[in-house]
Amino acid sequence: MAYPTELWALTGLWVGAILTVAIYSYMLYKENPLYRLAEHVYIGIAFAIVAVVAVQNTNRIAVTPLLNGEIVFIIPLLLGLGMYTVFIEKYRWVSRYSIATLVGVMLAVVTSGILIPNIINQVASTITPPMGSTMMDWVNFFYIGFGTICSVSYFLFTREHTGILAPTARLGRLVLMVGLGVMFGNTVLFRMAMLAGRIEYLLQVVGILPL
Amino acid sequence: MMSEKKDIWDRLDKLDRRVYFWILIIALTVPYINPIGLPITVKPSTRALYEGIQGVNEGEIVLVDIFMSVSTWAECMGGLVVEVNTLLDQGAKLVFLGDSIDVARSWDRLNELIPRLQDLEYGEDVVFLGYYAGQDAAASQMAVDMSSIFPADHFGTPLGDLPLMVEANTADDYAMVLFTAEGEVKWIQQWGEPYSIPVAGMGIAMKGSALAPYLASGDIFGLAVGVRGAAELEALANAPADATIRMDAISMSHLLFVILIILANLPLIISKVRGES
Repeated sequence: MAYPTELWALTGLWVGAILTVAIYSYMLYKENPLYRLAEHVYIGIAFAIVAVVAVQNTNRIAVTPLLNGEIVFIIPLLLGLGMYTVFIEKYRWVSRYSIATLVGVMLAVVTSGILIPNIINQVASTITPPMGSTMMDWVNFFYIGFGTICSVSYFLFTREHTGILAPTARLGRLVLMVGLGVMFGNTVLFRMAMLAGRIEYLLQVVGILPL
Repeated sequence: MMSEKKDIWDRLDKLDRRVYFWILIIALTVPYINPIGLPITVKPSTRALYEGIQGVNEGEIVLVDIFMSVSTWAECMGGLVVEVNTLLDQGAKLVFLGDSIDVARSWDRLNELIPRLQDLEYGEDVVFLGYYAGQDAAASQMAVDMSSIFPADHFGTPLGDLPLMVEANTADDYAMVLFTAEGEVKWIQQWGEPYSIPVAGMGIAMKGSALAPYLASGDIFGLAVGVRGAAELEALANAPADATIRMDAISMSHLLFVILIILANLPLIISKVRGES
């Protein structure tokens, strides 16, 4: 993509760069007016986008078909509108029907799909030995199997962690800490990728890197 | 000599944190200006993803969920570009959608990065359905009737007027689902398991450890994680691009972190060795 020459495109490019610097100024100079301005601009724009997309989505999915004669779409629209009665004390009870429907539908849909991939397949993959695999696969197999048992024993609260439960619970805690460490490492990687992306953008804006 | 050493550790311990941030920014910037070209090894999970995509036959339809906001482009856009390019090479037909509110912006960016997307016959070879809400409930309903969730595509064209969407209205019409960044669980639960549709994709680095169990259990056939995964896909496609360059910067930052962690812990270890409280 060539470096833009039109005024509006250039303005957008530089506004993005200035807001990026403003947001990251928090890291270096804590809460400051520039950061606060960028934060407010960000929240305002994000809210505006959410509002516009939500209206467009409702219009596309429900309002347009309703106006075209598909009367059934009145039901989700009424349930959706019912959500807003939560702001009117006198009619707050109406929102309970909308919320109950939403929770009920989501619960039914998620529960029906969760059983096999999230429970049965996970248990099966944990207890299935890696046939014909490398030494490392066997190490992983025993680590995951043993680590799962120990981690579960750590969350047994109906029995005091003494006797056989004492070493397994302690080991379970260590396994959990290793898992949390991995997650933290991945989080750092993600944040660094975002920072690297913004630095790349800044270098593109000042013309050091091509857009 | 002893007091001099203590002074160095003491000064290091009390160093303004802004110095560390500036060092980090410099460490991330330098590789962009002078790429190092560190080697990238490909993990089996990324290879499985790439080979799975290469296994798509001409004319088969693939659903691509762009659950990626603008802020996640740095992580996942490079990988998505490789995935889409590979699918186009295979002659696949593509249906794009996303449950990130700025998915339209990601679609625009994808078109900028893959100009040949615009050369395709819209409605015949490619369709952009746009944003959808509702997570699992929406995915579940899409599996039985796509047009009930998307009466029209992103541009307002009714689905009945798009030949590709007439052909691909239920889960059984699709050869594969590819997720990007997040949102994989609904596809596994609502499409992969009930309809045996192969599911795979790339996650943000934060999701790496959460996605690994699904890979081990075979619920997803392949996985690329974060910028590293994107760089691996670029290496497999023999098309080094943004993610490959970005990996140099990230590797530098990680090296810096390792050094800083060691430096931060050394004063404590030294004081313990000396028996100081």
